[in-house]
Amino acid sequence: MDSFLKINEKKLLLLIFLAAFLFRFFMLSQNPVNLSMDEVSIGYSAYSVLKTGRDEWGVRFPLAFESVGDFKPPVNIYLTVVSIAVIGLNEFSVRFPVALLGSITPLIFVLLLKNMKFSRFGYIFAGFWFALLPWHVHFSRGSFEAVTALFFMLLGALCFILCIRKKSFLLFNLSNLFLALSLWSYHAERLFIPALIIALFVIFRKDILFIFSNTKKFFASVLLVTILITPFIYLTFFTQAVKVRALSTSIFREQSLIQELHNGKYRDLGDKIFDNDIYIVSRHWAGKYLNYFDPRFWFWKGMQFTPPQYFDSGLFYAADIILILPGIYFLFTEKDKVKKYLGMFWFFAGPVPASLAMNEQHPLRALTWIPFFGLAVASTLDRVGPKLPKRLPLVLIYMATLVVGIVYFSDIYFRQFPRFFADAWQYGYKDIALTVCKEKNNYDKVIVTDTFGEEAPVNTGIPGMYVLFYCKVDPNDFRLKGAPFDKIKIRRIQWKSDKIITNSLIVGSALDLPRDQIPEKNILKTIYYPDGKPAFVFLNTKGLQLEKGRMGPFED
Amino acid sequence: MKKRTFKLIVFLSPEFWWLVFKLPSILSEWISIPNYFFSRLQNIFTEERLVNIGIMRWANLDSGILKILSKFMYNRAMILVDEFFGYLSYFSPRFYFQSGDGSKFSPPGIEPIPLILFPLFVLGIVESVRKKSLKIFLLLILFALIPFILGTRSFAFLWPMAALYIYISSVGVSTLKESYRKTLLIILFTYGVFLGGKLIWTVF
Repeated sequence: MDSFLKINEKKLLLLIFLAAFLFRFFMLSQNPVNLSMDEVSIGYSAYSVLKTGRDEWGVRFPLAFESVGDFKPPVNIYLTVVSIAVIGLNEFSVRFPVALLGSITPLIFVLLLKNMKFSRFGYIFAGFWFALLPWHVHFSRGSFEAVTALFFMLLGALCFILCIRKKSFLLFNLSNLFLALSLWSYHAERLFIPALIIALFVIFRKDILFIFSNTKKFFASVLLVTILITPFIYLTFFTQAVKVRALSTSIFREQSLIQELHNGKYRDLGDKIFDNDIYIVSRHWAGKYLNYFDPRFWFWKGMQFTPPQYFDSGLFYAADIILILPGIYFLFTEKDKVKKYLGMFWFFAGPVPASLAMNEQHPLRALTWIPFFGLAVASTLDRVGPKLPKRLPLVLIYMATLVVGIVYFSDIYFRQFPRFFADAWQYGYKDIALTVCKEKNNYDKVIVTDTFGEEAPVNTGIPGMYVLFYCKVDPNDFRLKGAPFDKIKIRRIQWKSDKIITNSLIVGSALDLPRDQIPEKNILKTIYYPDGKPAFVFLNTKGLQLEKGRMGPFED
Repeated sequence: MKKRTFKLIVFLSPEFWWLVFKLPSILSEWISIPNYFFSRLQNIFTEERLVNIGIMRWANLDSGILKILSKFMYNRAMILVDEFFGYLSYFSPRFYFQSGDGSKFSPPGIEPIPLILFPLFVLGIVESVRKKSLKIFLLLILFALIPFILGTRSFAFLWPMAALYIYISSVGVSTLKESYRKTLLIILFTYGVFLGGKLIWTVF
């Protein structure tokens, strides 16, 4: 162990980066199994900005990108502009920025721990822990904005602590910049970053006073913060960009809560006192908040890679129990007040943004909580590190359990996840997009269903966005001429009427079409999900009209 | 001080009063312990769970090393690991500080233990570890084990856990500075009275 730590620190950091890079970039384009709706939307918006300086709706360099029923934060999209400019418009370029930031985040975390005065053993191995963390690995691979936000948050916190240590205005301003970027990157950070800033100011209340020592520099910092925040305040209060997301994901949209609320219509005084809406909302929220403290969610069933009745992966490897649980204790009993109070803040505040939104136990929205567990791991390693050479069997058991955990996680992630949830990742849309773009000139009309999966017709997707993305449709053509949707129609399949359109190509989900009633010669291709079930069927309508009478029940 | 705080929290906890009035039902639950136990034994390796293991092996889709790996990963031993993590969920604070068990043994629409005690519970755990109060943790493991073995999450069997959670919270209260503690106890008392009123109002 000692000899390992004697290796040059830069080499160890490089090893951490390589481990993180490997876990995040291995088969990046193929897994997750398909670009999600959010990813293609980010990709095409970035492509549009790159080509025209406007998003696909014509807004010039937007600060909030309008998407399907939502507004996307801008940071990921502008980062993707760069990667598309360099690599081109494809799966890899869309996933690259977040995967790269996700690979660098463990390094930033190591530097944060180092500056919080954790031991070398603590911060180096906590860096390795972060690099292999299933919770962070998965979300780094799917172009999730929360990973970008976490990167900037940790960078902001690091600069803040450095600015305190070095009494540097430059670092203070950098901290403001990065924390603001985090706030601009993801929704959960809009709540968490202000709380983190307050916590940092309270913890370092004496040291931070240096910012008042130079009036000019202080006002320059205030000006910088104003510039960074004012557009956000404008978007929040004077546009729909922030409100839409807040309203659409708020716990107030949950039926179980709505049904309980009185909305001011109390039956009597007793009702008003003992069953008041404030108590009902608080209790409802508390349930969601406390749900995040379930050990089963942490170590066994948290990532939702499989349906509830199957084995799943936790946010951490099961082996991490022996690092995290003692770490909570060590952190809470730290003599160093910065570690102790920052740890306590992160422990209680980490899951708050996620708990204010819909859904039980949402690991993506709870990414703000990761640093706490990293602090806990570093604390355990700090305390037990010097004793480890004497406890070799314990180390070997941990390492063996960790290796089994990594193999298990790899199987769940690379084999089970795509088979159980390929439809949720719009598997098949890439093939549909590429095929219809290639074939559209051979038909008078192309109709693509907007439903998918086994839950069709309840599940509705946006195949049109995939067509724009994979066919690299010129954003100006799309915006000004509506191309290519003059010929390609995205809508629900109306079998009775659609099949009589001569020379058309129909792409239906497996449940859209009466498969057993369609002559084999008309079926051009079938796309299957990775679990072997049919996903989409391509058929041409040539000759189907003549089949009248033979088609039985579908003819009425 | 700790004991007095413990007693105060017990009296302010809706679950305590609820169970007092449900004593006959609790006793009848206890009589059913053998039934619970045998039913639980039969429900470990159920047909459904074995089928799910078969699905996770994807026998018809994989071959070679993946097939061997599948057998190593997904088997009856894994069900036992799953059970172990199921056991850990008996410690979930939501159960005690917010939702209850959802049966007739938890007060409806109200938390079994006052919710505001959760941060104190965390501090209490830390303090108990610091003082090396092993007894508390052994009791926690044991008291959670009983309902787990019986395959039930009913407070008829989990009330000792609730009592321990209250005790740990009172340990947490004792770690606070005197002035903070007094303020907290006033808030707790007021909130407890509200909960008591709500309980009475809900029942009658």
